[in-house]
Amino acid sequence: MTNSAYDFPSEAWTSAYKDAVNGNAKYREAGKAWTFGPVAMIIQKDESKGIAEDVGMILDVHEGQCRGTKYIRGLEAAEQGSFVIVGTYERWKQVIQKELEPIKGMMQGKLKLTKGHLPTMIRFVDASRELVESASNVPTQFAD
Amino acid sequence: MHFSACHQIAPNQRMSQSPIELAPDAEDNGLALMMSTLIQQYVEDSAEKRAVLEQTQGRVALISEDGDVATTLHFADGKLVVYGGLYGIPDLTIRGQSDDLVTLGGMPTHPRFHIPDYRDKAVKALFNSLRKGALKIYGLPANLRLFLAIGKLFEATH
Repeated sequence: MTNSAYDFPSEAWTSAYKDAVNGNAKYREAGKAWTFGPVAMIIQKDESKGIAEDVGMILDVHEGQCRGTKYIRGLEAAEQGSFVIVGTYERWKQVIQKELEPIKGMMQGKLKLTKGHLPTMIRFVDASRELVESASNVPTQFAD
Repeated sequence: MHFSACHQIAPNQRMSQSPIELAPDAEDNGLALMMSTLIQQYVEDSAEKRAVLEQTQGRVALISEDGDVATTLHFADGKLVVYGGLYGIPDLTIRGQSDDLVTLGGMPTHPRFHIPDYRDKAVKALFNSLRKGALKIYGLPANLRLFLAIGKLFEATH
């Protein structure tokens, strides 16, 4: 990992993720019909990784663009998202490293959709894959 | 967790108006949770789908080979109980990769003809999987009505 890698999770990583999403032409195409609100991704508290409380990010995705991101602390803040996906640090690390596809992760109970309309989400499987692809393009320094 | 906000059904907690129950053993089964949430939200959105659910009888096993997880949907007496793993002898068994099960769970249909929309990339991939044998449906000839009911329930809403 180079010195320019962003710590995950962090405000800087979240901001870099926005640029990565907007730089992904395939996401622009796959997500162009998405008008269903922001998506929150929550990393559960894990003190062994230096995560003292639930943290995460809200992606304000709309019509194939990421209009903004917000680094958040606490599950209550995640309620700003129309969709909330929750997982452990290890699971999100697997997602970013493309070892775990989010929908499959949900099937296996490794990630949980705790808020949102699942029929809508599964219509956008390709868009979710491209969000993962974008995440994998962010230079990342993991806590472990 | 805010299960009530997402209409997720907590274990052992039958929603008074809901015809769907998640069996106690299914609480840790992601596929069972996903299917119960999905069907719950479909029937909340559509009275027609709720009527289909209430009229359906039979057991459907869904097996994700790459996800190494299975669930059983047991339709009886106007209700659906979703079990973690295989439960009882299924009338219909659908076995395949998680991508194909997800496509089945939100089947894009032609807005006019209400049949799988072959123009859709995911539907094409699904039929390819069927052709190659990567997606297998057991018990179909004897349970065509059950299969059609499942197809109606899982039809994507436009």
